[in-house]
Amino acid sequence: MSGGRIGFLCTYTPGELIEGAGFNPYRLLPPSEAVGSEDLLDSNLCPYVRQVAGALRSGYYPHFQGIVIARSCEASLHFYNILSRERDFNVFLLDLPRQRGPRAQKYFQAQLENLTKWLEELGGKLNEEELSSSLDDYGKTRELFQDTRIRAKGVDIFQLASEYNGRPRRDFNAALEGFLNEKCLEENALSILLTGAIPPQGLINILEGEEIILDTCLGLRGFLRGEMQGKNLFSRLSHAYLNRPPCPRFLDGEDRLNLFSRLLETQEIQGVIYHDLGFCDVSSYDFLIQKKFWEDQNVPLLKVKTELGRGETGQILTRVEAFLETLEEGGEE
Amino acid sequence: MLYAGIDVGSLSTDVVLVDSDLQIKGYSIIPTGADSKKAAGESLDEALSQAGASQEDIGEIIATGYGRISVSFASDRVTEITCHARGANRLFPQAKTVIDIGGQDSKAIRLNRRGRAVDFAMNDKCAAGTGRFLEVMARALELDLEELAGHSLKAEKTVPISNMCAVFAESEVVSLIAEGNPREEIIKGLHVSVAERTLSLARRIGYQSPVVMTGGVAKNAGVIRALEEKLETELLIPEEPQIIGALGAAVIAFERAQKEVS
Repeated sequence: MSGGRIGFLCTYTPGELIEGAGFNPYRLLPPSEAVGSEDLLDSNLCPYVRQVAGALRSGYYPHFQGIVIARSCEASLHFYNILSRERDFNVFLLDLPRQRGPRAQKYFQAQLENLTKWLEELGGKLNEEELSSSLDDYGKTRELFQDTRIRAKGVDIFQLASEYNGRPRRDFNAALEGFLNEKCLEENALSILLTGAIPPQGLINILEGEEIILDTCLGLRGFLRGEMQGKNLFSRLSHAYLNRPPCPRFLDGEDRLNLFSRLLETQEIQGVIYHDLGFCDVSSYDFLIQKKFWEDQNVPLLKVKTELGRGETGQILTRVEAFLETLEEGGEE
Repeated sequence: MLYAGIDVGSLSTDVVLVDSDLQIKGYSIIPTGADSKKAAGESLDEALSQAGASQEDIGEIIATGYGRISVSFASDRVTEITCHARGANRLFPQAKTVIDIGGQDSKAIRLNRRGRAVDFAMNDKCAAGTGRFLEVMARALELDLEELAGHSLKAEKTVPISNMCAVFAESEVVSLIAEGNPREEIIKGLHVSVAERTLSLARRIGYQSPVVMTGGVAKNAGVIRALEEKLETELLIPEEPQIIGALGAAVIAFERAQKEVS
């Protein structure tokens, strides 16, 4: 791979294709310090997208050959509109369906074909050998996250995802495998499912020492894939991506609840922390669905709302620590 | 041997010392000011002096409150949610709910049969319904904070306050004064607005009687009356409601010390 970096916002962007075309996929993670972007995007839009927009303009990220914006929500579409007017960026809009049936798969397949054409316009070339190796590497990540070894210290998963961002998936797998084998959890650690939107580093840090099942696009949702089924590469990738544990933006919330039911059967979940991202409509309705689900299962749930700001850590500290203390106290009895 | 609980709040730093029978041997309440570590040390010294004891007599120290992290000499730190639950349970073992309204935030805590916190709701992102809210309103009304309750209890009617935000509510109060509304009725309206805010927190945890009220605002008889009407129950008020978080921390300090011995 020598074609430079391709930045992307949403994990529905297939890194396999980017690597197969000779580029390094680089996830646009929120910056460690919030960067203002009010003059680019309204302050009542998704804080994740706003912060990435500000960080991109300030030179926080390395140089990108191109940027892929999946149309995950309206905020990301606004971001695309801004970037597409800038001369400095080659940007591609990956239109992501809101449903996951056969028609949606066909539509997404066409989107992936267009993405490949765009990558070729940037000088990439879909190399059979590199593509095959990349598909194997992404499949390996899926295997590593598939079984019960998904429990880990959240802080380590977060660091791994940041440290290996923009590096070949093979290197990430090696680090992840070593880390999962050597993981050293503290005695009496609580087992917490962290769900909802992409969490701020501060929330992850508060949970240091606890066992975290990370159901966000930095964890399970970002790394699992469905089966590679289809007649050609693009239909197989389309199937695999649309049939992974769905993001809350998809309209069929039932599959998400099926994932939680499976997790409840295989993992001992003592509590759930829901990260509600400010100004995210999807978070608002996803939380209500999850609230009912966890109440029915008698699993304590805490909602933590942030805008990914560093200064919010103090405010959420008491809330999260108190929640952990109530779990340690043993609940209703 | 004594066991200390230190509650570093936004307005006051409170210390309670208990003995092995969990009897309060000394306590202090001092303003936190700008240096919370210094305030914790001074408050501890004051409580020790009241108990006629010295630092060598302390077996374990637990820090709580928003400034708990700054108490470097504490053995451990526990949140104020857990500490208020334990403190309220120590004084009122029958309590099922704790309402704590402090200077900077307010909380409703549901207790289990053992008096441990099992659920809570917090208002920690704005000053609405907190001690700070009342402090700002007292200033607008040119009264001392302590005078609010007396005026409120004299009011025959209530002037409703529609803004929950401390900043907007202050403007509203100024307008109500200009319109010639009696000060007593405005104050009663403010207390009702605090009670309504607290009721929404209490409902979120499914509050049950008996309800204990803790925190500095529990010294305000006007808020207590408004809250009792909203919650439709008589509140249990500790003799000194401001030290309940520190008392809970001291109880935990004793229990931790016992665990270490065994």
